[in-house]
Amino acid sequence: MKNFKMILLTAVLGIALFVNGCDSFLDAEPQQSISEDVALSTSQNVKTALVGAYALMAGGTQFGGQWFYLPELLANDDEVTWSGTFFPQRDIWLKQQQANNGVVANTWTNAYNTINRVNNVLSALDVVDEADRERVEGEAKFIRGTLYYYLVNMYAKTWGDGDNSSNLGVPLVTTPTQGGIGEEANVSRATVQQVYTQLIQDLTDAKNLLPETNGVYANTYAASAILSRVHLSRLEYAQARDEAHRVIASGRYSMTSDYMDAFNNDSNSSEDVFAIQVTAQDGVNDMNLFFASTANGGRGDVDIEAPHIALYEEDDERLNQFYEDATGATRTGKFDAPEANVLFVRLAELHLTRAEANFRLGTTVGLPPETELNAVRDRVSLDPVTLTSVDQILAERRVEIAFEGGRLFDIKRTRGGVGSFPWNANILVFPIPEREMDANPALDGQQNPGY
Amino acid sequence: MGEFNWSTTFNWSTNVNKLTDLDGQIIEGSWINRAQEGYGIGVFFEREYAGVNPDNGDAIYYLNREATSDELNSGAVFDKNGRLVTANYGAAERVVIGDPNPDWIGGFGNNFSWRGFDLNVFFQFVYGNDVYMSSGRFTTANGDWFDNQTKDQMKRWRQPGDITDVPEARFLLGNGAGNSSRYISDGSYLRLKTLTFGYNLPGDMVSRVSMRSARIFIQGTNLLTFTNYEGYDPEVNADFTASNINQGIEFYSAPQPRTITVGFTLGF
Repeated sequence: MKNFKMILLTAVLGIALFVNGCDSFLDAEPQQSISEDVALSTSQNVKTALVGAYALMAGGTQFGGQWFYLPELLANDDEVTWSGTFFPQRDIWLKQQQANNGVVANTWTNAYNTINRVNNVLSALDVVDEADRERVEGEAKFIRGTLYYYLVNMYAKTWGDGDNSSNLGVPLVTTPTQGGIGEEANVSRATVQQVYTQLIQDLTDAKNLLPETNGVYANTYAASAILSRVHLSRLEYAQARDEAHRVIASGRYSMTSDYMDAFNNDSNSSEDVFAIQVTAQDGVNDMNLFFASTANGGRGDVDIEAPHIALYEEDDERLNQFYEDATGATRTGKFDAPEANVLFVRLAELHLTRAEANFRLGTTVGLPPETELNAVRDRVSLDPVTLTSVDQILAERRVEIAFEGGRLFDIKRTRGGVGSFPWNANILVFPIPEREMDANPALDGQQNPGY
Repeated sequence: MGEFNWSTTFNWSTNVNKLTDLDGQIIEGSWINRAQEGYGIGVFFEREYAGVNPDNGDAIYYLNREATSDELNSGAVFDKNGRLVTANYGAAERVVIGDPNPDWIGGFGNNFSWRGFDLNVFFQFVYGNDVYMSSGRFTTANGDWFDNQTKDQMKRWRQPGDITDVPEARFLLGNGAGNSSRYISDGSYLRLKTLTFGYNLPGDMVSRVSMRSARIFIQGTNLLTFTNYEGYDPEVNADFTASNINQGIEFYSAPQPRTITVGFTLGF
């Protein structure tokens, strides 16, 4: 009987302790995340959140890779072969991607995730130290504007392909989604016109707010460089020229003396206006992952084919980038260092933008276009040419920035084509990801044509 | 140590699960699994494979929705055995095409002993689950890529009139290689999981060499499997992505080894 009492007592005590313990056990604060009100409570915390936006923007699905190499896969016909095993990338290279394509989906998802981080930062500007407030706002808007530029170019009809004010762009989200997903998170697609208006506003604000130097983060010239791309896409040559000129005329950047010195740099070269930072500890370089041979840290998934090599003049030093790897495939050496920064905007592109715009407009802002074109040619030991056609500048641009992410944008704005597909073919626009169509009823009936 | 002993064990269990309220949301897994109201967790949701168009070797999929008049007039959508099908993968609606959750699982064992001999036979069984063989998109894809192909791909469509469910081999063109019910296989099986046969040496013999007991045995695992599963081994899951939603996925998953062990135990 005594034993029984002891057991009963122990049991009751045990249950009491357990029940008592439950409350605090169930109320545990998450150990790996903090709530919005803490994350955005102090100046330092908001700046940390901004770094978090850069971190996501620099990921492999964003400017650490996919925003650059996916357009290249779509833009190349017989110039490259995707020899890797990954289905999603292969389908894009074959121009047969479907709405359930995995990389089409995660590029989109992480872009909006990054935009949400930026929107959170922008919602908390009032707690940022006054001294840093403009810079934080400028960087945040730089990221948002840049992402919307890439989103609207890859997931919507090209600027000028029909009516921009009725063509569907992408959903515009400019306020943070906080405290869970509700009805208000179901945003339908804005028009191409509306998206461009927003992104030009963001990038212009960034240009005006950002300082001339800002470490490795976006500065005012990075904003101008992206703006010059934006205006080029809209065939607004005067603005494209002036933004490019602003960067060049700042005198802060210079072309490397040797072409290949512009690549595989651990820290920004004199030519980098903006680059994604990669170190041994942090960051990914998925350009390396897919373009480089296995010996150089990659998977060797993109083979460069003869029709591309044939684009170069015989003495072009840019040919030095190509090598044959152990599999016998030709690779570009532009991305041969796994821990190198990922190129974003180089000065040479801006020179070619300015030259093209000057030539088209009959102006000579900064330099006469022929002089500027020949300066780019001179670096790679090519003889000067007499400039008679814009095609000369476009041909130079094609090889100068080959595989760096710009080809599709140039094809679309110059109304060219990819193989048998014209510039405005449905397949040269990504589908709205199937998972997005599933999750967001506001997108019903808004899938891109052809999917 | 009696003359003859026989004991038997049996266990059977069923787990019925159904998602009743997710606030209307759908949670997608990283393969084709999803959590959706009204279904068991992790059901496979994809396009429904309808086989091959005998006229041209195209892989075709059930439309699973109403067709537009344009689709019908252009021939992009047509009738196959009373259901609408299309060769346009993207045009076909996704539906629930399988469920990784088994209807029931269990096992039964028999122990026999006679004089010094003992025999243990244990079977396990799983019934009613589907496995999504995602590596089939490479290995069972009618020569879509460089991968070696499973031998059933020999049955591929070759000329008009061929009736087969393996589409025409078209290198790089993804003819039927998209995620679909083509790669669903019934994962039910009955497996002889272990079989052990042992012999205990007689007590007087072992005590003579100052031992308490001595037993020699031979044991086999995974000796027999009865299944209609098309892959290597139905008892698999791609564990590198397994979660509560990502279940029943095969992706080059190594089969369970068949092992045979011979051993002895000595007691002092």
